[in-house]
Amino acid sequence: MSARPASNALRDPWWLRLPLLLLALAFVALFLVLPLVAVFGYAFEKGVDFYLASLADEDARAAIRLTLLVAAIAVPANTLFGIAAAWLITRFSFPGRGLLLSLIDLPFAVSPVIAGLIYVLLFGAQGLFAPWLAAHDVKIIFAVPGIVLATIFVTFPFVARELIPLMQAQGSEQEQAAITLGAGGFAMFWRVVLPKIGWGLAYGVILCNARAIGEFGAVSVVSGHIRGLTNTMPLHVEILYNEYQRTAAFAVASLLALLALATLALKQLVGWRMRRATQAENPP
Amino acid sequence: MRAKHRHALPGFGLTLGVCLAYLGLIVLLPLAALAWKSASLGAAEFWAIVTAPRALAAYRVTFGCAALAGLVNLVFGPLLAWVLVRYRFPGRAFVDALIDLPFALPTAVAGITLTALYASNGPLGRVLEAHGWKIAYTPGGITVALVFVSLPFLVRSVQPVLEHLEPDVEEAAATLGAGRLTTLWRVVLPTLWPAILSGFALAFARALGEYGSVIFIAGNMPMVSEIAPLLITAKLDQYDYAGATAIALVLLAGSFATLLALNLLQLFTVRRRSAGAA
Amino acid sequence: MSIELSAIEYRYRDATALAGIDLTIESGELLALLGPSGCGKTTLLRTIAGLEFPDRGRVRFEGRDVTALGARKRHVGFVFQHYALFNHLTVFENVAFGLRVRGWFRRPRRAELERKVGELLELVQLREFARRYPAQLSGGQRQRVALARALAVEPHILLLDEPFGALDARVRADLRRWLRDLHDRIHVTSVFVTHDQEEAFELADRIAVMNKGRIEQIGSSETLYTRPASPFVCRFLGEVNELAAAIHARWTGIDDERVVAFVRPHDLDFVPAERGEGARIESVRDLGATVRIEALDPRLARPLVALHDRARYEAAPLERGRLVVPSARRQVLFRGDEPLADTGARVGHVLRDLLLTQR
Ligand SMILES: Nc1ncnc2c1ncn2[C@@H]1O[C@H](COP(=O)(O)OP(=O)(O)O)[C@@H](O)[C@H]1O
Ligand SMILES: [Mg+2]
Repeated sequence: MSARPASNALRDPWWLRLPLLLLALAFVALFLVLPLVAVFGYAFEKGVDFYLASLADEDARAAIRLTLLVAAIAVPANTLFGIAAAWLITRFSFPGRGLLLSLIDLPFAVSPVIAGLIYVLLFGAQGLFAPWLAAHDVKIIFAVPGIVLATIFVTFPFVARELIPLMQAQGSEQEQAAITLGAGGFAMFWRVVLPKIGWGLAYGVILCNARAIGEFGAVSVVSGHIRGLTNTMPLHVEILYNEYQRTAAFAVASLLALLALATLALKQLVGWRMRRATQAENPP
Repeated sequence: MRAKHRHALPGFGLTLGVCLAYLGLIVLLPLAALAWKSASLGAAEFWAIVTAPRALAAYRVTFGCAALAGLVNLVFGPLLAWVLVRYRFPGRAFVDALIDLPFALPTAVAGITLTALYASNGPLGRVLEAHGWKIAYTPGGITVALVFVSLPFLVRSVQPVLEHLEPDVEEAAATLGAGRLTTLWRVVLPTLWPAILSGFALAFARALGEYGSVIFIAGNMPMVSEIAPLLITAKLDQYDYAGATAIALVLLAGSFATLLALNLLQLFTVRRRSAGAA
Repeated sequence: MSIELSAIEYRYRDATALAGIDLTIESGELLALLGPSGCGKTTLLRTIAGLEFPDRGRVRFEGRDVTALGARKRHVGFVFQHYALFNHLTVFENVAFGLRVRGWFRRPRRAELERKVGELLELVQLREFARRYPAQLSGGQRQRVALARALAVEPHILLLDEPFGALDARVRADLRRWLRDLHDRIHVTSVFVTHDQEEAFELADRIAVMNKGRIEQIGSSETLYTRPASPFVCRFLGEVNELAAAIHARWTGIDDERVVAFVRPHDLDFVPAERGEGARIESVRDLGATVRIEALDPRLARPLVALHDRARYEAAPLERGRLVVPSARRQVLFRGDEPLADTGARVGHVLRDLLLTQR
């Protein structure tokens, strides 16, 4: 961030600065710091042994495995899609480009519950494809494929949203140079595009991953909450909490909170690297 | 727009194919299912579902709490942005990073944590209830959860505008004899309005659909503290797919109208700005 | 390798960039595309490179139709206006890029690659900068990296878009001479874009002057200067006095027509008037090698501009207020947009009378 010259005209007087600062910090303490601390406080309220036992529980481990599996499918799929969409939108002009852009933003406007609902309408017991699915003994709703689909829906804008403005700003001259030098599409992508967008891509993937692991509403609608089978970590947290196993719920929740903290730290790091990279490219 | 018969850069066909296939499968097909399901409802039936007293109460709670949370953040979002951009204090980078916590923290975690804090035996709930304020399991609790999830939208919309604000306008105001408060109120704030409103619209749209962080703290009493997304899941639990779809359409219409209003607003401010510059 | 462009047309959504271009570039030639900003130079260059595809017309290399061929297959070296260096690669890797992305069998081996890149870096005098990144180089150095990178693939054709546009005046002049030497050594067919006529004249064998998507004239600098094909070319090639006039048959064989005479400032002489009439000197500015003199004739809207070289000026100094008679050593006459053929020799000495009959 730019170091502002402390021009006198820009400095708030102390009688203004102090109350504003205190008010802001109090708000942050109450709404952000306190909940974060509370997660870990409640997780360890019965001691470390109980904490570890909660995590070692068979159902908890199944939930962790399923969550990782879902993320391992949804995040790479959305990464590929995000790169393709950003390339298409920033490098070509074609009819329907604007429509495509708004479609990419769509999940941000759709409640997660509705994201789950649309797949239930499609693949559920009374859904559009229900007869076909029943005939072929394929289960999507209340099974892992439904969870994956819902997660993909909720998280697919993240990578594309991060890349589109970045690639727009970077322009395509380096890619054109690579082509005139004889590079094919693959070599151009691998040697020029990927290094150029690297940090932005990392940023998008991190956000996509965080949301994929933490998604609750959409997954809750399609999962059916079958213990050990279709429970992701957030759903497991819900079940434990509703069964009054508060400490165990917070133990699993603390893992998710750790993931959130790691996401924030990575985001900071990547943001810093990105700023440094652009500074190196446009030296003053 | 004219599609040239050839492109200098490779990959048009491939990426177009990938995008159409992906969006078709993930977005368009399911949305078509939504349209198909709602079409199977007669107009009268649809109207009866979406105007049932329980549904009306759910909209009231959803829209009311989302608006209330947006208003709270309308004050605290710009305040935080101001403090983060203009003041130097120890831990500033930490606070700046923490602003995104609601984006990064899974909503279910936020939900149970806020509930534990504001419940009558929780550390905050105890204090508040001693003063006669019941938060958890009331619309107040819903508002608290929505304040949490929508805070980053306002801070992050206003922050970049403040960072790029040219100092000379404020300096000019100061040389013209304006006091600091006058300058903030009459010079800085007006330039922030578009960003504040756009942050508010994003926050409001998000809050309308929010589910995970709300359902734990809401209490979920029909007619009192039941939000529209929960009503959808309730109908789904009873295999009332048509009913769920109808409510979903109302909710979607709310989000789209909000975002449409935002786009119109941005169009308007861009016009006015560029007209002023010309 | 020769380049033939025939009837090339190119439209952007809301602008015609190329409106029928016919141009043949000889093998080994260094051609300049000269024209004001927005006249379509970049678009034409990109069309030759295969980075844009024309709506109409054909592009041929050495007689072979390449219109439908993409940039990757044309073996053309392209130097972008802002260099388009790969910021994440060192100077060495930038230059080596074209060799590394070759197919498996045509890819040079490591020693071969290092030798080749080394030679190129030697050629552009950047050997000691091989390990630097583009961000650590000056503008002129980046320009030379871009050139070496383009040359590494041994292109048949070298295309340069405003190669000196982003450089300051000194570096520009040096690099210009250096590029001319380089071309004399490697003789690759080259086309470069510029909006600076001095640059075009100094570097190019031939110059194509462009205006609004068309080529106004192609020729050597001498042809353009002495026999411009249109008033536009005349105006674009530096400062010129423009005089609407009528001329008489006794000088030209053409009687009393409405013509425009173009006289370059250094083809114009101001001779002190003997009688009490003539143009009055308005300003005298010493430019060093030359002296710039402006004189206003009462019948003209704008002052006439003459450049006297120093020796001549010192022999016959003129000061403000003096009355002078303008006389042209040489001028070019146009009737509408058509040049009047070969009138130069016969009207060369009579600008004075031209002026007298000016409307
Ligand atoms: N990408 C584009 N979209 C629309 N119009 C363009 C584009 N690029 C160039 N033009 C227009 O085409 C004309 C020629 O442009 P260009 O070839 O870049 O000219 P030059 O290089 O001589 O300055 C100009 O009028 C310019 O405005
Ligand atoms: Mg150009």
